[in-house]
Amino acid sequence: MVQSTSARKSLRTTLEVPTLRKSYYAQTLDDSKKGKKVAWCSNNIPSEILDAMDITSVFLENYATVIASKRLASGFCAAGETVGFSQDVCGYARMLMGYVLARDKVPEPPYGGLAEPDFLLVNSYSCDSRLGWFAAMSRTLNVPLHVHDAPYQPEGPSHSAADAEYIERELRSLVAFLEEQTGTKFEPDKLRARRAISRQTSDIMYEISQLRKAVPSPMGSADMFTAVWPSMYLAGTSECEEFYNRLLAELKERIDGQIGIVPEEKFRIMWSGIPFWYDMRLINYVEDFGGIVALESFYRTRERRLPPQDDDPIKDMALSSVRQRAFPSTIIASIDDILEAVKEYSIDGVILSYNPSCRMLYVSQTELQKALEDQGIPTLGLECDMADERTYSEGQVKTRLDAFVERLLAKA
Amino acid sequence: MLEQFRQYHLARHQNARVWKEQSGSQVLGTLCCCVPEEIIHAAGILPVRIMGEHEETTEADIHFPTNLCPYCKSCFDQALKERYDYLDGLVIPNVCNMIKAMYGFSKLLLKTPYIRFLEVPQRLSDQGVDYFTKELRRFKESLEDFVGKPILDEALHHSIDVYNESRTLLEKVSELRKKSPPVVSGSEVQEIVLSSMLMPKEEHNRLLAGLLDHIEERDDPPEAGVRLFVSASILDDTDLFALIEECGGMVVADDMPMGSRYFFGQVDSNSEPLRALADRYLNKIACPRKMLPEERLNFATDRMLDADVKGTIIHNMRACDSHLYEYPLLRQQLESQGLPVLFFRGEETETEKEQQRADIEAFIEMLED
Repeated sequence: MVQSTSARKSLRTTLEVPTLRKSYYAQTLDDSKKGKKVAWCSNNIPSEILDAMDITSVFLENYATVIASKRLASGFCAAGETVGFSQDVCGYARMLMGYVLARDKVPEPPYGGLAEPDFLLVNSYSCDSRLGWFAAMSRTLNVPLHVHDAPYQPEGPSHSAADAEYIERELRSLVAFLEEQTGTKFEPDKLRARRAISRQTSDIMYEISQLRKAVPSPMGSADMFTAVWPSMYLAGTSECEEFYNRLLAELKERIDGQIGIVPEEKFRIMWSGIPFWYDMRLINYVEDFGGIVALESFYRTRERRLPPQDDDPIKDMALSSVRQRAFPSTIIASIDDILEAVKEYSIDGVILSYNPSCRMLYVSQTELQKALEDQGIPTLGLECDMADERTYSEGQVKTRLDAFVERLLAKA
Repeated sequence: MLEQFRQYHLARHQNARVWKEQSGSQVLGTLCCCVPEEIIHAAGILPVRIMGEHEETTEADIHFPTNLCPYCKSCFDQALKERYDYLDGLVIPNVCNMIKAMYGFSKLLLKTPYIRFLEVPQRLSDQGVDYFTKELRRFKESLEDFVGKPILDEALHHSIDVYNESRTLLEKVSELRKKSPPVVSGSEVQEIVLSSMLMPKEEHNRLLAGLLDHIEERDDPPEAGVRLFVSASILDDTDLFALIEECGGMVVADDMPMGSRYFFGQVDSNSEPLRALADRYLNKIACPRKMLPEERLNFATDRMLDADVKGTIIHNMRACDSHLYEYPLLRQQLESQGLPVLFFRGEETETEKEQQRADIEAFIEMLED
């Protein structure tokens, strides 16, 4: 029997997500049975394009978090390691490589497993791991792989025509690949419609982010780590937009009624980095002491989405992605970003997850922690894998959390 | 003459300082083999490859977590210890997670006046070559601003010729590793290759051409050993090669960013220079960060089979994802062709060497049976 590790949620809207997620995975299996083309995707593959072309997308990182949250990761990771993938590689990748290459060695997969892929789509720019992982799967599964590239843009938003043109050509290559794989002609109108919904949804999420500044906190990370799911995997659908409208209304209700997450909010924490999916109850731990994890570094919508940059939706996507960046790129921008968030969200302390298998985030944590402490913000660094619970010692983590809470309470 | 290359490598910081003083020009550090040094050379600047050291990091530990790429961490540690204080600039390409992160950290923590990020497409495509050509133009313009004078096409063509000559000479000397009995050892060639990334190219070409004229008549040829191939994510010194030789092996061919990938493939000197550079640096360097497994594995396996080796040593720096994901596939492909493999998880420390020695000795003993 798998032990439940879900965080305790406070918002009724968040409680809809497990059902949405379950039905999404059931739908992907059903689609596959009906002969719809299935793409296994890395995050940041624009699902609106796939959706507009009636392709079923399965996002493997999300499935990895599902496995991890059910505390099944160690079995999947160990299977990945038996086929040669080092413990140094990403926990998500090890799990899924175990699933792909050593299916007889993994525990029973959640939701009845994944719909088998017709092709794989990976973005090359988020991290090296995704590219290596998908390339290895393509070879071993013998299914086509398309790599989608984009510049890094370390200086943030720009008006570089060269960058926009490159992204546009990359998006058109993706569309051409999908047309070839499916025999379906891409229709720009369908994408434009989905982009419009995505934009509206993003604006709702921006409003939600703004409301989360309220004291007492109307919505903590225990809810947001779950509530973010539709925006990532149902983007561009009215189901997604409606979900966030309900969430926004609930936040307004809570703020009007001065309803916080804890009876008397004594301190507010920010979580930097990926949480430990196998122990999401940890997010609630500080609530017993009057604390709340009020914000997470990832899921804050920092600004309203730009209006359409061009009538052609592909060109719009390219221009928008060059002119507006969702996340800070460099350590300098990340420091500015976290200090701004601490101020705007009245944060008293920051927990930084040091997760070596996600190198892009891991590399910055020490310097972020240093920058926060330099500003007098108490911090706690916890080094554990995001998925593989074999690296986790609950007792040690809680002892350190107790000391951190004492430090915050002394300051409160 | 071989000793000159080794000495240059060992005294690289002092040599760069002397060059700078004598030439009155600038020195610019580069990371990874995908930075087209020809453009830097054409600006009258000395490009030098940033290398780490086999020593415990101290300064970098204040700014970085523990489990990072030891090579990047070591390079940054060296920079923070001001061993690279003579650098006027740094070029950091979009090549892997850690190197690209180093751009922000360099801007934050180093005093180097010119720090430039170079966008490098992460997959091979026509639009990638077009984009990289434009990026190289932006890079050239930025260097022109930095040195305060234009980089003329004639200068670029000249630099391409100098670098093509260098690549030809390096290819020739590395081919000599394969001769039986051996004419030059793997570690000697590696010293030549590493020094070529540090020394003014014209001087290196002159020395190497002179060496090649007489190398086959040398009276101190290296001892023969078990023929091996080395595939490595990054090796910034010759220690592993020397260790292999001490254990009775010899490296006759390699696939490494600070090895044959540095000089593999020429720049087409008859084409528009920036496009020709974009084509060579994007399409001809077989890096697993942009080349997909099918092509990469065939490239590596063909080179191993061509070198007629008895086994392969794969050395992947801990946390180097591109190579870590490729490793199981490469191992499987090599073993299916009857080529035994020894794997090392690389650190940038002194202590790893002795652990490696026992493994290499056992591997060579197995190959000799």
